[in-house]
Amino acid sequence: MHGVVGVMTLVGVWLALPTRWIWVDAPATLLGCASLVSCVALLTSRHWALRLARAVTHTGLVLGCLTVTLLAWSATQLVGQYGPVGGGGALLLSAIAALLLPYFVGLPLLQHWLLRR
Amino acid sequence: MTLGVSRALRAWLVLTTIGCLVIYANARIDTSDPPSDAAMTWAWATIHAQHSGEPAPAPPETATNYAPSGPIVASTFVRGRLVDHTVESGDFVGAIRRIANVPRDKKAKVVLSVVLGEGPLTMGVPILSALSVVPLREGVVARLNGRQELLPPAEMRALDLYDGAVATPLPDLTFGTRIEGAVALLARRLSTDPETLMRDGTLVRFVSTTLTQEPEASDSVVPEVLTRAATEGARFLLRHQQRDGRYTYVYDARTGKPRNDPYNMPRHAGTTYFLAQMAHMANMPEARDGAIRALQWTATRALRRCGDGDARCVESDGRVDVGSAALTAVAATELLKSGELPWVREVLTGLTAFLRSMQRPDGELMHVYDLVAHQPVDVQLLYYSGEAAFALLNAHRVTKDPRDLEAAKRLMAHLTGDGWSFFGSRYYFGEEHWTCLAVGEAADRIDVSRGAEFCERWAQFNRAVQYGADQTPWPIAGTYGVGPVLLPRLTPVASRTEAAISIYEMQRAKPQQQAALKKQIEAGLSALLRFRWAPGPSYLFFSPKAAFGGMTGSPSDTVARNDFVQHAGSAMIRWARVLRDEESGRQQSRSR
Repeated sequence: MHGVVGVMTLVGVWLALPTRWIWVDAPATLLGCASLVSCVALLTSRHWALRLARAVTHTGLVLGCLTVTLLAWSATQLVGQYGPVGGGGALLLSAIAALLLPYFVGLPLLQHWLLRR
Repeated sequence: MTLGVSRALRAWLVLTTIGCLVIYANARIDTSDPPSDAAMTWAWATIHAQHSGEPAPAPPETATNYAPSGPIVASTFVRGRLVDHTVESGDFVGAIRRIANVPRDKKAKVVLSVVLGEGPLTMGVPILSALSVVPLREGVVARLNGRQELLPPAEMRALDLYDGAVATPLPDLTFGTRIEGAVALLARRLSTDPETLMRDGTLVRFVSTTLTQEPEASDSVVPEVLTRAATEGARFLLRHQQRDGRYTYVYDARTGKPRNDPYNMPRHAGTTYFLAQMAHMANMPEARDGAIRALQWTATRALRRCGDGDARCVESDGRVDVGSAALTAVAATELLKSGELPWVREVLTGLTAFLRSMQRPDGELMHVYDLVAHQPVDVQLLYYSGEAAFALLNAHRVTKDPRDLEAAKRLMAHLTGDGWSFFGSRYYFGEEHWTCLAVGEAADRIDVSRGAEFCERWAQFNRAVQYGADQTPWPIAGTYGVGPVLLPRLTPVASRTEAAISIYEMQRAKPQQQAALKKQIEAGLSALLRFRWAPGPSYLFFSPKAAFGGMTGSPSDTVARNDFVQHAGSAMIRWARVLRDEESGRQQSRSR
């Protein structure tokens, strides 16, 4: 799972995002690379593998929560500033929130639960 | 889940919620009331009196009692250029009198911006910073060493700072305010550089009400207003058509000159179609002459032999595509509807032969023709299949060639059936206006029940994203969009309205659905009438007379591309006819 998360994070940041910004690119790249290292370590049964996997998972959870918070705050800023967002806008914002939560918070929580087992 | 993680998650939720509330309160600007209409009438009369030498009128009570919550900015424009910028504070009456005393050119147009409130400006966050100023409604204030400079919305618009900061992969779709441009100008006015202003100064945004003396265009959706608007649109196109028949592709009203964009053949043909429509639907012979000149220009400059036999295609910069041929065929057909012209008929039959030759066995068309290899290229581009279906169906009325109808039938079956069949296809649609125009055109000749269902779903989808009143910061009810961050584009309003009219005409047996569609169509037309240049924001125009009748692409834009005018005019003239037909139908049933 760490391998998949690592690849998804790197692809998401370097291919899907339209613009470069160090505050997003750097942490996400570090997290993606750490996930891949953790995946290799778990597969090769290194003695430090589990500790690294937990650290990566917790960092991912913190960064995921932070991303969702920042997005929620950005959306609030727009609603505060622009007023009502119309039917289409409300639909779009809800869809973005619904799409992001499972990946940014749900997935790290699942990893955390699996590692505890 | 461990207790620690569970607690941390709860704390995160609380923090996020509290943050949202704080940010909302901070981002929102509580605005004061703008001056009353009576106060503004007095303000304009005072400014005029000063320039004409007449005695200034006495201020009404609402002007004397009005306490502005911020400064009043008077921006003076001559031939679209900002020539003076005066900022006055204090009581309203005194501020207006001082503004009136500024010497001005006779041709000058004054725009007043009354500041109603201010709030913080987000800087340094990509995309979010570009969205931190609401286009057309908010300006920027810079303060440095006790000095203050304001950049009101009218001036931001004149400098083209709105709606262009972030480019999207979609053509013609950009959004966001160029904050750097605003900062650079404000720094210049404060005699400093942008870096010093950013480091040592303060930048805030402000909400203002923009007051001009432009008469507002009527947005009443009645046949007379619609016909007048369409006629003025056609006159705009004719005014900017060259003698050889070529149109001005993009007219920049700020400079009063054509912009140097590469010419577009499908849009040349689409514009010709609209002029030909105006010739017989609004009895406008000069529009027919213009359409003939435009078609002659295509025939002499761009018509090529493509494939065997009589097939003719339209070349543009070495490229041949189905879109140019289809729309040229549509224009030729429309011309033949108002009178026979043998050379036009010959052009039409050549073009339809080409369109038929591009069809694949599954009904879809190959959209590009390789002039060197003399063979079609099997690629599909936006709009072209719908345009070709419409062209073949339209042409069949004039050519009576059963091959045109057969090709159209197979193409329509593909477009509204297998061509749009995937998981989620009931919830998501592309720009299908040409497809639905084709379905409407086909309704009396072939079974279009599948196509009609598809178009009704498409219209319903559009209804869901059509803005109502007070859903965004701008008066854009009737336009389509997915949130106020993007100023709506007006061409989709026009093209979707054109298609909705075709669907409306098919729904005669479904009065309930027709009523919802009528509301949708009229809201769209009302928006188009509001934003057309009659006269539009003429203080930004080099020559308001030359721009009159034009149509812009978005509420903040000051250019008119020929297809903006074409789609809007076509929708207007067609709806005017529908309303007249309905009225005469009602009169006939009353007299029976």
